[in-house]
Amino acid sequence: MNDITPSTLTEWTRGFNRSDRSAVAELFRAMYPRLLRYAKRLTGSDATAEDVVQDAFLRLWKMRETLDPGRSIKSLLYVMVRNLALNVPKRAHDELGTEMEGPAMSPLEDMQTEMLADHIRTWIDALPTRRQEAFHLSRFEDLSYAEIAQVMDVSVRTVENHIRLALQHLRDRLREYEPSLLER
Amino acid sequence: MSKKSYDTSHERPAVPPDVERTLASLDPEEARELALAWAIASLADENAPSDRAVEAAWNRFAGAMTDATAREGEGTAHRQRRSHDATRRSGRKPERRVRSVYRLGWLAACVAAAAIAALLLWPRTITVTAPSGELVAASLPDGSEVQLAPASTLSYRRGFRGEARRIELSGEAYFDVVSAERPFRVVTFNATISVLGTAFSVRARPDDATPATRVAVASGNVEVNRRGATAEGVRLKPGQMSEVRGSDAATAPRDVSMDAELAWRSGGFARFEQPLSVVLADVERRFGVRIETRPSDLDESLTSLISVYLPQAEDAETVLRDICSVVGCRYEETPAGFVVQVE
Repeated sequence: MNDITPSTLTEWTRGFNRSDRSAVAELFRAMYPRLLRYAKRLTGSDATAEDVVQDAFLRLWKMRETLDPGRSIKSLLYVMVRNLALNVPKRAHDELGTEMEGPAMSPLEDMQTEMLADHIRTWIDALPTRRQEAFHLSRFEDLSYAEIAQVMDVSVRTVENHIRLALQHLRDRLREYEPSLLER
Repeated sequence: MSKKSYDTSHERPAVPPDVERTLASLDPEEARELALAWAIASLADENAPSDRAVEAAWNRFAGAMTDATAREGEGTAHRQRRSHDATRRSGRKPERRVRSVYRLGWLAACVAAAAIAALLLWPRTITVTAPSGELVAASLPDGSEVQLAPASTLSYRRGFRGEARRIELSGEAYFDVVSAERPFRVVTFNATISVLGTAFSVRARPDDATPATRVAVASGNVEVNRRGATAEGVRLKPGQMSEVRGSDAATAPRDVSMDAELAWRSGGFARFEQPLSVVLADVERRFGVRIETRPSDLDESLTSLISVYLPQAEDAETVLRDICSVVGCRYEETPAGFVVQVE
């Protein structure tokens, strides 16, 4: 997940400039899984999320010759996915989790871990929408504060506040749930 | 747990640099708890889509990308008018410009880019050639891969513009085709091969003694037809081959050894039931050498057809030794290449 370095991104952007399909393929394969998760969070639908990510890449392809290698193509993709996702009429959480062909869930070696994971998801979902989004981008998409600020169109300061408040919220819930989790 | 006092920053899970700065501004005990919360939150990470799902998405996108590229030539005037807007926007200060591109303006920027691309991507033919003695691998605009045998040439219109992904081939090549809705078509001097997504080899050398286009399928389904034919062609399944000889219809499917058909891809050499001159011409192309046959007025109708299959063929001599042991000829290396003396 952390293997996408800024220089790789710059290389990929140059690849786009040259209409180099192998660079496009690499960027697509590296970014698709994360963007899909982000789009799913925003749209609440697997099928819509897939369409949104496809559309974002297609728009990026159409503007390939004017992309600036000095700018983060990663942030731009997140911005596009976000704009597209927020413009899709939000359907009820239909077909959530149906089409995702994830690796088969590991046998529940640890039932408690699975339960805790479910709780954490519920706790994250209980956060105000913008905070959820900022936390998701930071925790699961490895975006820096600056990148999140760009994607969500807010200040870095605001992002930092969101992350701190989200972590404090999670810490409080964890403490209620199982105090020993936070012990030394 | 131990009560000794310690520097808490070393006693908590690692967090990314940005988050670390946030934690550093807090009370150490709270920072430790929040770092733990950060670490534990990883449990909530959703399953990533499988490699297969990512590949399926990529194939879908590759098709859309090709179509978009093909459409870039249309509606230029309309787009140019709109792109004027985008140019006007870009007259602002650099910082503002970028923000606007990131907000609303990027849509206009897409449109402007499409207009520019339309001008730059005017139809053009791309030609890829493998010289004698060399294998050449190439990626096609749709992401399909092709490997060209020595002394082979293929060409296609830049960006695969047009209703099909069309390749013209003279020589021999192996195709690994990305599936997409638009058919993938290989056109040779006398045949047309149509597929949707598959892997197959084509040999079409008009200068062979009996000029034919030979198609063998590694995976998927392929349709082979005489060039310009309107009736349905011959459908091939994996492990089958068909030939179009001259202007005849394609021959009925026949089982073949794909290892032998594709031997050239991995350094081997294989030819089946061919006149000596055809096999020797292949050796010339493959190794980039000149071979002189003696007597020069050799009547090939008197010699039998020969078959050669070497999974590994390091050099021309290896193949000549094998051929001569079958045909009963002698070969000699000369400064110009080889002389093959048929008894």
